[in-house]
Order: sequence, then C-alpha cells, then structure tokens
Amino acid sequence: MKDGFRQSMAWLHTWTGLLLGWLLFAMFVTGTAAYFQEEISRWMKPEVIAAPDREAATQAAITYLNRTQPDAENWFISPPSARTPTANVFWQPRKVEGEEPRKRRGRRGDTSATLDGQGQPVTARETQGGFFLYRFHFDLHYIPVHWARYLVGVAAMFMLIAIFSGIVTHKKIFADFFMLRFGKGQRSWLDAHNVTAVFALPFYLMITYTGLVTLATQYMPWGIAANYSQPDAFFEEVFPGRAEVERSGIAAPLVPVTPLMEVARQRWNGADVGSVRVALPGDSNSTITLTRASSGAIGSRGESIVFSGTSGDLIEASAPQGGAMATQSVMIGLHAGRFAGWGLRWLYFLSGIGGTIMVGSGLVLWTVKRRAKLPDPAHPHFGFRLVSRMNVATIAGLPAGIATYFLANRLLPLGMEARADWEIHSLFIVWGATLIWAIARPEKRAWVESLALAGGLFAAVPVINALTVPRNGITGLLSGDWLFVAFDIAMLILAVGLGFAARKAARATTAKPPRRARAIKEELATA
Amino acid sequence: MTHIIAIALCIAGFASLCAAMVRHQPDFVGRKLDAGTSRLLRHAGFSLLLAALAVDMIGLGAGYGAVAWCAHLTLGAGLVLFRLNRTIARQPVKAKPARKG
Repeated sequence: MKDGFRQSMAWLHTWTGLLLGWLLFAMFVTGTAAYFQEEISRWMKPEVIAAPDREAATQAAITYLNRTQPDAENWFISPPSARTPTANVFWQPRKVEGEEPRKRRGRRGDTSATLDGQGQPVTARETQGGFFLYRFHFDLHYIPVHWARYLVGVAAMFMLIAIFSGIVTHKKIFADFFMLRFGKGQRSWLDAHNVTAVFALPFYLMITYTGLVTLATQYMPWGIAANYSQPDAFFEEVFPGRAEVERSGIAAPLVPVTPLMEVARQRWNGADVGSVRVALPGDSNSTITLTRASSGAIGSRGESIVFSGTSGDLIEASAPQGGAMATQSVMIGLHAGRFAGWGLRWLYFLSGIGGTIMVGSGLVLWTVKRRAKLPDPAHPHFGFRLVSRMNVATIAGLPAGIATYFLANRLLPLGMEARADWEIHSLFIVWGATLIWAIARPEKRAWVESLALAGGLFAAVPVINALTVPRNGITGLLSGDWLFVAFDIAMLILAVGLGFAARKAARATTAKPPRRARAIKEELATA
Repeated sequence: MTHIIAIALCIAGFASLCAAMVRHQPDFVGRKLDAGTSRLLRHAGFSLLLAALAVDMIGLGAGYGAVAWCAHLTLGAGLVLFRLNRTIARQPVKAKPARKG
C-alpha cells in the first residue's frame, strides 16, 4: 500500500510537473526578473537620471496636474522612491453627462505622464521596461488577460500539487540533503532537481500558494457574488478612500500636500507615502487620500488616510484591517517582495533562480529518464520528441528572448512607431525562432546552439549598451552609477552560466548519433 | 549586519549537519567520525540554525526575520553544498563503489 501510494504520487508529480512545466518555467523566469522590475526599467530608460526628493516631487506633480488637468475627476500620483526616479501620474477626465465614464483599461497614453522632480514631463525612450516582465508573469501576452490569468492559475495549482507529490516521492529529503553527484547522467539530473527543490522549499511553497492568493477573487468569485449585487460594491466597502465624492461646484484651491505627507509618515512610524489620490481637484469638496508605500511593511496593502483637499483636516483613516484582509495583504506582500530591502531582494532573486533551475531540471529529467528506455533511440516516439524540443525552446529560448528584449531597447530607432511594442515583439520573434530551430536541428545540436545563442546575446548586452548610451558598467564604476555596474555584471554572469551549459551539452553530444531533421519535421506535421 | 551574522550561523549550522552525516564525512571532514561526535555535531547544527532564526527575529522583527531566515537557510545550505562539491572535485579520481541510492 505504501509503495502504491508513493508510486501514484510519483506519477502525479511527473505529469502535473510536465503538462504546464514550460509555462511554469516562463513564470519563474519572468517572476524572478520582476523582483528587479524597477531597476530593469531604469536601465531601459537610461535618459532618466535624477532621483528627486519624494515630497517636493509630489508637490511639483500636483502643480503640473493643476496646470494641465484642472478639470479631472481624479488625479493619481505615485511619488518617486529609492527605486524609481520619476513621479508617475495619471488622471480620470471629468465625467460628461450621459456618457459612460472612461475605464482605466484602454490605452493610458493620453491620461498619464512621467514627471521628474520639478514636475516636468520626462523625455525618455518609449519602453515597457521591467513592467512588461512583471505583467507577463501573470498576464502573459498576445492573449486576453482574463484567460491568461486562468491559465496561470491552473499552472500554479499544478505547481502546488507537484510540490506536495514531489515531497512524498523524494523519500530521503534529509538523508540525501547534500547529495549532488556530477557526471552520472540521470542520477545527476535527479540530484540537481532534488537539491534545488529542497534547499528553497519554503520559498516555493510560499510563492506558489501566495501566487494563487493574489488572484483569488478571480479564481473564486462566489463569496463576493453571494453577498454583493456588484463586485465593485465589495471592493468599495473593503478599500476605503475609493468611494466617489459629490462635486459641489464651488471652486476652492488645494492645500499643499507636503505637510499632509509628513502627518501620514508620523502615523505610519516613518513609512513613506506610496500613492496620492486627489479627488475633485479644484472643488470645495476635494479630498486627498494618501496610501502607505508597499515597501513600508510586509503587508502589501498599505493603510490610507483621507484629508480634506481645501482645509487639510483629517477626514478618515483606514480602520485596522480584519484578520482575513491582513492575511491576504501579508500573503501578497510576501509574494511580490515589495517590502524587501536590498539584502532580502537578492535572496528572493536567488530563490527564484533556484526555482527556475528546479523546473528546468525537472523538465529535462523527464526526457533523460525515458531516453534510456526508448525502443529505438534514433527514432523516438512523437511525445518524446515534442517534450525534448519544447524543453530546448523554453529553457534556452526564453532567456535568449529576454536578452533580445534588452538589446532591442538599445538598438531600435528612438523615434520608431510603436517602439515599446516592437521591443516586446522582438522577444517573441527570437523565442519563436528558437522553437523552429529546436524542431529543425538534431536535439543535442539544438541544445548547444540555442544555449550558446542565449549566452552570446546576454554577453552582447553590455557591449551594445556601451556603444549606444553614455552610461555603462565602466563609467558607472567611476561615477558611482551602481545600477549600470550591477546590470552589466548580471548580464555577464548569465552569459557565462549559459555558455557553461552550452559547453556541457556539447560534451554530451558526441555519444549520441545525429538524427534526421526531415523525418522529425514530417512526423510533427502529420501528428 | 543581521543578514551577515545570520548567514554565517546558517553556514556553520549546515556545515555541522553535513559533517554529522556518515556518508559525507570522508569528503567533508576527511575521515569517519565516531557516533558520539556525529550526534554532537547534529545537535550543534540544529542549534546554530535556531540561533540564526533568533538573530534574524531580533534584528529584523518577527515577520521580516522569519522571511529572511528562510532565505538565509537556502543560502547557507547552498554554500555548504558548493564547498562539499569543491572538495570532491579536487580529490584524485578513484574508483569508488557506487552507493545504492
């Protein structure tokens, strides 16, 4: 019975891990990169340098909005922080009678602006920056967000099942804790999979479970549906400061925001203001809502305070969160790691790399285990070929795509139409090309070539960067521009790592007979 | 500073645990240790890991410290494993009987 249970768990682990494994790998890669999304964005907008004072920049942003958007319904301001050098503002235009209020969903180009410390719009190259990698992590790309999130949710659920069934399957967690033997084929792959899985196991459990929690209201909407006629009514009740305010029609100027931010800081034990909302600016009923920055505590959902916009009096401070809300807030905070300082942020990043290797080694293990048992190793069955080619295209192809994304940021013409979109397209063009390459070439050659390509592209990033923009790792060393130093080093480490993997794959090549690419392509076409 | 102390304690903890394991002793310590020493090392290892948790929680607060501790455990175990494998890689290649896994 006991063996039966373990075997059924092993079966479950194998297939839940494989079925959406490639998506999980992509989620791990982009999610790991997203821990540095602000830094990636800064690297991708090298024109933006200033790191202005938070309070002064917020006041300057309000001055800008007052000048350009005096009639707006709402202003939203994200002040600059230690990690973002700009104030990002967007606004909701005034409602017109009989017209549907504009949704935030559409293109935000005409209702948003990026400002420097003096409230002047920043001129920087058009790019999505690290934000794209963050959004791809749960929204994917080219498919509707709603369906993407369901797909991602199913993948996360499979991941959770794979973790638990994996713990049961890996019967000697403690006895084999430090077991990593090289050069032993399948055994080495299993060791690598086990070691990366066990060492950061608390992280994987946390990240998978809390990842599901972040989108829980979409995956399980029935609790809200049973108690509220409209989902919006639930969100307005849960998050104070979102409620609409009635316009009085009497004009009145806004009070300075800087003293209010100081009041808020004191109430939050020194934590910074993360966002400012001004409702009905210029009206005597205007309100200013300050929300704590998510970097201030583990709970990502900050407390908020509402002030009168004309007198500066405190109207309402958000009540302490109930148990369920506080739990959800902490779980989302743990997942996104926005509270993490530099030390912990790097450890999050390393754990994410560990997860990437765990998923990748698991995918490779599926083929390694089956290769020896193939009836005719020269002509494996379709399923085996599918998995092995998908592995090449995902494990080597996605890193190649991301390196291309960085390169495209430097190489595409600055004035190009839809420039930011083409940066993203270039990622998928290279990623798709590696899939075609993986199908067209013998498997082992495809591994070597794709890994070498990815490594080469990462190695090219510091070079192309140095040739195209004035900021780079070497000038950074001299001027203390550590972001560019760290970015160059990270790119070179990735390049060396991928190059090392390519060399390893090349050494394993000689033993395997080359396969005929045409036959594979024909069978892929007919299958 | 808290990070550094906690990571050092985690490295020391996992190094003790690794040294307490009979199968790793020839590689990690250089010889087999007797059962009493192994047991002592095992207890010391777990105690050091708990000490790291205490340091993290005192230095960073209970919540933040608990998160950081998990990350420090990962890093500590990883570094000890790296050290172990460096030692094995430096040894002259000899035909060792394969251990049944």
